[in-house]
Amino acid sequence: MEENNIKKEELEFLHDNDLLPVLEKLGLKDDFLAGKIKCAFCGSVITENNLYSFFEDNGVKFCCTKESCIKEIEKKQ
Amino acid sequence: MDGVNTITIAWGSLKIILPWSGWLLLLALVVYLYKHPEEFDAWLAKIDRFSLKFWSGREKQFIQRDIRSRINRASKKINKESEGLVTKGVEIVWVNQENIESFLRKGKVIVRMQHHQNHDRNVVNAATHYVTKGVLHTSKIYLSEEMQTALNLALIKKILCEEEDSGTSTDYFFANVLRPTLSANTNLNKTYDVVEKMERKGLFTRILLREIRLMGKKLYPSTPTNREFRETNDFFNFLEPFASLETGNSIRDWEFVRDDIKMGILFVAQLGKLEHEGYRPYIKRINEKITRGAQNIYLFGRKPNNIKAVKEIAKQLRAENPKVVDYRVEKYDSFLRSEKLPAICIVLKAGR
Repeated sequence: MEENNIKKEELEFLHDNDLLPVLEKLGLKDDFLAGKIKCAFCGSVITENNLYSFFEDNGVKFCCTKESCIKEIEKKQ
Repeated sequence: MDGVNTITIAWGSLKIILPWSGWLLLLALVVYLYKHPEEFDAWLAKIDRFSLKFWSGREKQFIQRDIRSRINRASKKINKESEGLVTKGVEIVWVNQENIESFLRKGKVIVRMQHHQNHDRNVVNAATHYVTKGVLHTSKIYLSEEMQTALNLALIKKILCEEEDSGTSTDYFFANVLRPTLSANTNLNKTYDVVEKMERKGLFTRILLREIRLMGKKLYPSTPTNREFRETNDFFNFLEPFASLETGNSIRDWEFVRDDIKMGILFVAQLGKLEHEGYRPYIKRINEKITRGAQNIYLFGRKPNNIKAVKEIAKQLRAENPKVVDYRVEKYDSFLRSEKLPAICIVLKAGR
């Protein structure tokens, strides 16, 4: 009745084992370890405990685990 | 002597049949796994989880398989309730130092997955990512912020509740996401409560999300205006009494025909009506809804007698009214005062 041509959704994940090598590749490892990276939406410091995701928006931006910040990510996709 | 012969013949036959039945069983298993790859994934994830006790080398495979099987199982179920509502599942892609730049250039949002000791959080993050990224992406923009959040939370919960194990990621979601979010916002809490009631009555995916999806298909990518926000909000309020309904006596027959959402609902539930008046009054009311502009008519019934009547009514309408171009049958379990009952929803599609 209703067409169902929606394909599988690709979800991109980064495993913790690859986190520091990836940040190093992006030139952000030292800033991350020094607590200099902030959430693009609420401004809180991104740490190993509250890192949810990252994306490109005139440079690499980070998002923390706050519900309101995750909601903002929706608009980026 | 005859007895001994019979046993010998039976044993001889069994010796032939048994190897064949073994192959047949294996073939049936292969066909089943081919048709349900998410089940195969779930089994392999269990093996991976077990092997993690001795060796951490399969950690990424475990996370990948476990998350994929959970989401794919749930999406299959949701699409059964309302076809095309969500994607046909997910593929998990691992990002690393070699490919990170190409994914960022493509505008991808990359979500972090922690070690398997934090797997509950991983599962919740993955379900959240899936719902915010892939589900009704073109339609949600026509909803208020509050409705969007309530629908996202309800969908994440629906996906997590599919898990067969001890439900630890559901517990994690309740304690760390759902309760804190709802307790911080009274209006969101109220909206979410209504969505929960809709889910229990089988209206959430079957009517609310289906109609919102159809609206998005018509309108996207036009910029949402107050008119669309008002229409989706009014539609949500229109459905609320149906979600709160227990017996079906106060509301039986209703329709919502506006600019973009044009639908009607009819419950076959009134005691004695079927026995005394047959199907005719129902058919007449549905035809009236179609004349007034309803394009999807949702016919509901629970308990065997009403289910049979709903099927017959749909069949007769399809045969008699040329405007009814198609219909879709969905069977499910509904709740009446906490009692689980078999139920049916038939969606009649009327041409313009």
